[in-house]
Amino acid sequence: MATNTNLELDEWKKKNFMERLSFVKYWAEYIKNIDDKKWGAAQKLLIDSQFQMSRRFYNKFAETKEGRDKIKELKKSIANK
Amino acid sequence: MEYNKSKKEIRIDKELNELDKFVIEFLEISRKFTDYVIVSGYVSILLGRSRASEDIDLLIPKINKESFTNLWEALQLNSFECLNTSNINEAFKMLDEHAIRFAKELPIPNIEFKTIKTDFDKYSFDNKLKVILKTDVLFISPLEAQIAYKLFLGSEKDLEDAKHLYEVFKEKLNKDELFKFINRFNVYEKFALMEEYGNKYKFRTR
Repeated sequence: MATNTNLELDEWKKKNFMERLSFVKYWAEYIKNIDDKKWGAAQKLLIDSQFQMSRRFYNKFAETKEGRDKIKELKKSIANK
Repeated sequence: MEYNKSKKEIRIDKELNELDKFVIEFLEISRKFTDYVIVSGYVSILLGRSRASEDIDLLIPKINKESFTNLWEALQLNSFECLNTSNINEAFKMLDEHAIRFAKELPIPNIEFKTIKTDFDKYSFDNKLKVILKTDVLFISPLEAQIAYKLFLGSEKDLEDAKHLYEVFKEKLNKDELFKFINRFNVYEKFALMEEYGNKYKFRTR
């Protein structure tokens, strides 16, 4: 039973990866055929919103001592990656 | 996006996102003290991949203590902090052994700053491409080397980055050069898998 579940999971992961790689190909074709300004705007929306979320997260954490300690720990763990 | 292969130039006319601005802000300071080449994930993002990144990898030639000190002070003046240490001597010593990271305000994203150590690093630096943005110029690793290296790194994200670069530039890539690196890193199977998997599903064209 466990083996079947693992096989299903492996198959699901493979399919998911295929879908993602296929989408990367689709996106590459898309940006080759449109103005840079158009794909740049879509990319900016995605990346800038992640920056905003992360800024909100750190600002919230920075409000408490416990949060600030967590940020310190995070910085240390990133440096040791 | 326009790739002029003979001039080793790529022109992009996009509005800069926050990640681009972060990289440019760092490079405006660092380029006064050292040359560089951008490698790895941010190369794909700069060239249109639709994802964010935790770090930006920069390779620099070996740097002397005086230049490093000047760079360190300039970065501090502009609110960049080293995530590894606040001690300049320690940071300079670390740079001999491994990358050091610089961040501003947020720990992510950060600049992973490392010196050229291998022949492959040196090749990337010596053969860098110029990316011309509206108001800035950046230097990135050659595409053929970058694709093979991403395949060598081998995670799903790396293969997606390789696929992006391959698909966007495949008509202009130097295939001999690409396969030279694919052989060198022994990643032909991954290249074939990237091709096979990426052709599996179709999406509606507009």
